[in-house]
Amino acid sequence: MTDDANFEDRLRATFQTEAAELARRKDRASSDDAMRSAALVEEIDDHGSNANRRMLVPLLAAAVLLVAGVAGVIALARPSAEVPTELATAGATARALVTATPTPTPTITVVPTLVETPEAGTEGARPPLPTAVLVTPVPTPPPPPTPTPVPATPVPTGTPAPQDPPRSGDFCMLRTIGPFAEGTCGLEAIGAVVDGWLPVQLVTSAGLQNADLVPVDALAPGVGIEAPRYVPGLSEVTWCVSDIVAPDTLNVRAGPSTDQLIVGELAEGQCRIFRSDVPHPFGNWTWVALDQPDGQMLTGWASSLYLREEVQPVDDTVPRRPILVRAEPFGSDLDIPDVSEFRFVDGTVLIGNPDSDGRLQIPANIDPVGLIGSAPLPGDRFCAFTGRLEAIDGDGYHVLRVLQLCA
Amino acid sequence: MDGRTTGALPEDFATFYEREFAAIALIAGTTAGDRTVGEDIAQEALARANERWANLANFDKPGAWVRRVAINLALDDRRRQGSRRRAVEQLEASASRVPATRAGDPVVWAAVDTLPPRQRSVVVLHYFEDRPVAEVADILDISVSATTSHLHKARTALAARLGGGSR
Repeated sequence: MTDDANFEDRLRATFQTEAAELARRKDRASSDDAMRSAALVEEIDDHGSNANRRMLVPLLAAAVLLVAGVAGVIALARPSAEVPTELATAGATARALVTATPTPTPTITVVPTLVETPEAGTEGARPPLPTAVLVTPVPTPPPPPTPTPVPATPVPTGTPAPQDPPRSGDFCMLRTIGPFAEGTCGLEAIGAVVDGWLPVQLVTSAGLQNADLVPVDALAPGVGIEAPRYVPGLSEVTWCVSDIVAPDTLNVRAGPSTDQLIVGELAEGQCRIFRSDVPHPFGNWTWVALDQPDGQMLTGWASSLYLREEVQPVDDTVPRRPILVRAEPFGSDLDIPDVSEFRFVDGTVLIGNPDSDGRLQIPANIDPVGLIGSAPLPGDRFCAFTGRLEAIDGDGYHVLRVLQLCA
Repeated sequence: MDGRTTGALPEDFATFYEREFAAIALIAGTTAGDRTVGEDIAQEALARANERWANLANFDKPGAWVRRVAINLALDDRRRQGSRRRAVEQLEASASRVPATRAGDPVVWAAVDTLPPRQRSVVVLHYFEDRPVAEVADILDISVSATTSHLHKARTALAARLGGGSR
């Protein structure tokens, strides 16, 4: 018990010390901001020019806008916070954008799924497989020191900023509806679901606002659209089906309503389910995604009342390799042959392009299991890659099938 | 912790901000494993609270709301960056990563940083803010049993590293 007390006291003392330091840093940042403003005023006073003095206001405004812009960029680069339900619906009263309620059309959710490259034609000889070439590992130099960014301090005035930076929002479009194209993210719910339709708005970077009703089965939470895949050692939090008594199963539906089509079923105890943590205006419905035995991904909506978090400690001692495929060059063309460099945790670099079927030969001493990678795309989209061992040939090579998942 | 009870006049955001910033930055920073990230997330969570303050101020526990947003941001940050960031981390080798300097006992921080992010959230809410398990579960939007499990595992791991036993 004494040990326990010591251990807990050390935790508390450390947390308290760090909290005090954070409070000091906040006060210092506020003080520095005030000093910078005062210094600017003094500098202009020294010049003694009324014209310069008149410039003070726009200069200060520009400085504030610059800081706000940096904060906006940081906010854009960061995933959206998930807004608790009570607030997601709260904005509805302030924005009456819904004038009519269209009749819902149940459809099966179309989501980004793991797409294998097309099978080669069954006729004719398969061209020879490309072979990855082992190149000398190049030690990665340590990254240059980067200055610690000074976070912009919001002015605690109790009133919103005049122009809020756009954020990634709560939802993404799974298909094109009205003004919102498939793949568009950053939509914000501005009301409650009515007959399967949700009023949403999208504020563009130019400050333009678009709003419309969209069927709920055309939406996925912003976090879910990335269609996560379970990767041992990397996927920290998944969920299991709980409190279902066989033979009952937990339905996965196209939308967050029992009126929606059933697109899949989950059995009691089934795990490795990704669940959106987004509190949303759909009550106890939550967006789920999980791998299927056939390699496809099942996505849809399920009752969160029957999902329990699967606790799986991450073992950092297990080497996670091979782990990254760097796609280069990588523009708007998503063809797998663009993938040219396969980099492994142990420093091994393989250069090679998969064939048109996505197959690639790699030396047999490289373990392809768990091969993953990702590449950024314009518009906050990305493609991820994974590899699957397809065959082992007699020449000391593994035949790896590279799969791509774009969202 | 929220310093307000239902029926009292809603406090102004400036007061709320001044009181809560450090705690939220600590919680987010502990979850994210990085003080600077924690400060950024605290700014973001509080900015969102500011936008909604007209409604939020009337909540019984606006601080709990901001904590949930901040923790979601911290967890979401790790998940969104996901494989790419961790892959880069792996590729750059652990030796090149400079752990964030934080105040307090570095041995404790080293032990806390070995925990999975969700366990870190539970630990900081429980030990720093003295919140009971049910309240931690409510903030994290997970079950009490899952929270208890996280706390137990965290205690066991921390005790093993810091030299105490677990209960």
